[in-house]
Amino acid sequence: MQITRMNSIFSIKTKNNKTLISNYSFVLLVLFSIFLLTLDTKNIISATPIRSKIITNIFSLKDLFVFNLPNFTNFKLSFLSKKELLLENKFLKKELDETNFFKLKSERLEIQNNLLKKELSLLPPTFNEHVFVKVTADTQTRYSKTIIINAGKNMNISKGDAALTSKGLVGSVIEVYDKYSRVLLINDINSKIPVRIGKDNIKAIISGNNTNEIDLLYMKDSLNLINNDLVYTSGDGGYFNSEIPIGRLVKTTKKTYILPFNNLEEIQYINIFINQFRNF
Amino acid sequence: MFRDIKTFFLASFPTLTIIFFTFFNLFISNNFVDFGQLFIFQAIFFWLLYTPKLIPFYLITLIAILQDIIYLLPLGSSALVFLFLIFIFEKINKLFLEPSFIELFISFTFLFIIGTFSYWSLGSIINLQLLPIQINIFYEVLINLFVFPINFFILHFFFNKLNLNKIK
Repeated sequence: MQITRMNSIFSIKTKNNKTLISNYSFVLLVLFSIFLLTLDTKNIISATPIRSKIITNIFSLKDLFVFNLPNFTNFKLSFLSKKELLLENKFLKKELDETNFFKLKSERLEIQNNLLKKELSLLPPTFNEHVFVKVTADTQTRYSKTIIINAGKNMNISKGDAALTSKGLVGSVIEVYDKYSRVLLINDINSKIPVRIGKDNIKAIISGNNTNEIDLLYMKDSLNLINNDLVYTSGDGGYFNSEIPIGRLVKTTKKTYILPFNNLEEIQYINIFINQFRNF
Repeated sequence: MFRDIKTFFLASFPTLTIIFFTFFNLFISNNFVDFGQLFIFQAIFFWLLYTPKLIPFYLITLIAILQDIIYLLPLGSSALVFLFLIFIFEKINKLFLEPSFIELFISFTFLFIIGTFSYWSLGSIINLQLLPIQINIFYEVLINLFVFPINFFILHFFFNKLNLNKIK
């Protein structure tokens, strides 16, 4: 495939005014980008209101487009074989059993927790309300690990709410828009969560590094960490409730890291716990 | 009047394709394969070759900022990477008068790798620590290089069909 002679965008030596303007505009845009980058990274300006407006409009438009599309699901369903349906049924039953198991477990823990708190003369926490949401867009990149969910101010979600699945913690809400919110995943480089590890309740802070292996920070070298120890939130700092499972500790000869229970790259539905720690 | 409207839509076609690439990666392809933020550079590269006047720098900057907003990247980071790539593109462009597709493909590969590295460097500078280089980066580059000829062919088809070279 041959192409004809191409136009030159830059030509410093040319006396053509238009090209000179183009050169100046290019430099100006580079300077503008650097200026914007500095303002944003140094938090001199808050981009949240702009993000809120733009994301709400983009996703509303997308929803409008998607809802007006003909329903292909029914069409697709008619092609599903009996074998596939049985497999799906088996998978759903397994999921249901798993959810029930966690529900029973949490109920038992709640009873035990209330009893212990009574013994300690502490008031039991008020209800933990949660919203079941769908991941609207997976905006994970190599440099930021966030997802956008289909609930925002309209569902009383606020900044700092915990995002969980039945397996454990996924992240926390960092930006709330009108109908959408953004969740910062636990493996994001900016995510720092105080945790406790294993039966010894060793305190540490986990920090994401944009990979699936979450780092452990601020730990004494002398501590005896056991492979496969459970890692859960400590509740320190008042950001998350305590005892939310996060992952398992993996200890190799080279490094020690946390492997999250959730596959953070394939999250579809999550629970957002509103009115969490603040109610205690 | 209708002719003016038609010309306007034709002139905005390159910009629309870049916006389409942005949303395609966000809403459609992301469910199967993630092309990354540099995916739209495929369209930018094509239009810079054929109709550079139809995609002014400010529009590329605006689309890059839109991408930053969607992906929660620091505002201006994508714009800076794209402008840097355009600058290098121009330098490479001067070397070839009538490049064949293979030469264009090599140029694109070179620019794409530089772009990926630029993103990584910028991310490391912003976070004040070296970001891990994952195997996903290489997959992303390979996938983009794999689909580049397809996108090039499609864009070339529209370029010829709409006679975009005649728009001034």
